[in-house]
Amino acid sequence: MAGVRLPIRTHPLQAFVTNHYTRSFRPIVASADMGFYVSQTPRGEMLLGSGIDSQPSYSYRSSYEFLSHCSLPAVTLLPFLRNLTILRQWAGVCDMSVDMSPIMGYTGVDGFLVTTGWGTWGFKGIPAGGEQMAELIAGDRTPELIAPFSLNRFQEDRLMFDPGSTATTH
Amino acid sequence: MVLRLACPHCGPRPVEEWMYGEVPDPPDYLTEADERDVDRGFMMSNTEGAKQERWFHAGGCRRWQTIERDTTL
Repeated sequence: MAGVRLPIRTHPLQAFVTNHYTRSFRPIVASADMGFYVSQTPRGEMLLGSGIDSQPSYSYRSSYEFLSHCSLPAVTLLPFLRNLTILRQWAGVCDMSVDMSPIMGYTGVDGFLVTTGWGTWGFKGIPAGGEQMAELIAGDRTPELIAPFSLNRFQEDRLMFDPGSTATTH
Repeated sequence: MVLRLACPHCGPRPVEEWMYGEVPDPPDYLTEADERDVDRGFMMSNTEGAKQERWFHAGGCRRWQTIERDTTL
């Protein structure tokens, strides 16, 4: 416990897969307006997900409410999905920052750095984030690319609007 | 099974009916006024375990309630 206060809240994120869909479905379809996304896994299952659960929680609880909430826009946009059955459902937990953007860099505690707040779709931005963090640690200097993501942006009232790294809508 | 919150008026109701209200809780060791303001505005304890929370029952009695919840359940 380093005693560093972070603008981070942990929320569950649920997803589910259907049984095998025999035809190939190449695109990843995501609708920010309808609040869901769908893609096909290499095994042919259709993978569906939506936004985070509204309650802050560390629980891996899955819910029927999520299934019905996510299925309605899915079968509206892609009616063929209604013929599939749900195979399994799960939840993970996400670190959500106040401005929905990641936090990278020094914390004020000597030798203790953070890279957090990657939220729901961090896998798109995290390779570059990891590379830049390595450069920071090795070079002892914050690279220009991640300088705006520092923890002290909250003290400086300089919040981020960075849908590029989080793929969130505001 | 969806998370249910026990409303004093309406009984246990699904979390979809509720709106979460973050309660600022700056720690005592922050003494400087500006530091406390930043903490109240942005920082969160993100407690793992039981804690008291404020919830607005938007889909029910439309009252703010203080509810104790374990964030690991």
